[in-house]
Amino acid sequence: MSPEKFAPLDPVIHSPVRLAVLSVLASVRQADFGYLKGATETTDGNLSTHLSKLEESGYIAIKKSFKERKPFTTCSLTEKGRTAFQNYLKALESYFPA
Amino acid sequence: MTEEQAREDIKIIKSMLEKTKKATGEAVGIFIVWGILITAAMVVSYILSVARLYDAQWIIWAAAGGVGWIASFIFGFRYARCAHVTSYVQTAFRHLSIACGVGFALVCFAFPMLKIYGYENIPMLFSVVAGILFFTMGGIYESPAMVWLGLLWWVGGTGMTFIKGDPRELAFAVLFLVGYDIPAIALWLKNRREAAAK
Repeated sequence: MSPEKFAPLDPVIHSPVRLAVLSVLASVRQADFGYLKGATETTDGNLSTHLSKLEESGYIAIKKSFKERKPFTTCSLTEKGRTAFQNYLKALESYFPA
Repeated sequence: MTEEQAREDIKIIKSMLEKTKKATGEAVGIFIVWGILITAAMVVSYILSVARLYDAQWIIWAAAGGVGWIASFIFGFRYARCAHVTSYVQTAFRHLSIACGVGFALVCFAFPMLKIYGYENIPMLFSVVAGILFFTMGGIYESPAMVWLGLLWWVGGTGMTFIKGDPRELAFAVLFLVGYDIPAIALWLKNRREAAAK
């Protein structure tokens, strides 16, 4: 297949950690920071950086609170994020012959 | 991006979905609690009817219902506090449980107390609500076994309309054992095995 037939991929999502985060959040209402860290197998700092980028793009909403006097962060997908993730999946499909 | 990289992306997505699926298994402990309570209430109720203490029977069911609701509240609160992920499936399951819990309280307790119908009708009405609970749970959790249990409750409920008197209570006890207690214990054991495997 010629490269011009490939749909462009969203650069915000096109990173293994950010793609993993969006894949988790696309199937749940919300997930906490600890769960995302375990699922993506990354470090606190790295995950924070990627979450900030997704939040800046309006793809996820981050809620910070306290649970048993400890900081507790939960993330959820926004409508914009859901649409972007669906478009990313459609774009990925174009990489595979029908 | 190449086709190979696209395959890597698909692999990431699939792996995350699989991990999340495993993390969102619902706590089934409360099912066991309700099963024990209702089974115990049925046994005590039967003993009271043998002793001809019919007036005391409602106290047993009120106590079982009260304890069950308190236990459900505690389980729900504890589960929500410990959960790292909240899925749509869990939300749907929670709403279904509350709806059927209210349904059971109305058809098994409130309406007979208000003398809208007699206590002998409870097994059939209980079966209707139990059928809805299991059939819908089967859909939510993609479990054909639960869908069949829902159908079993509806068939059982219809069958009990042809049985009168004490044999109906006995038939209801057997249906409850087969349609609730045994599946609840099986589900609990399965969850324990899966938790141990993790």
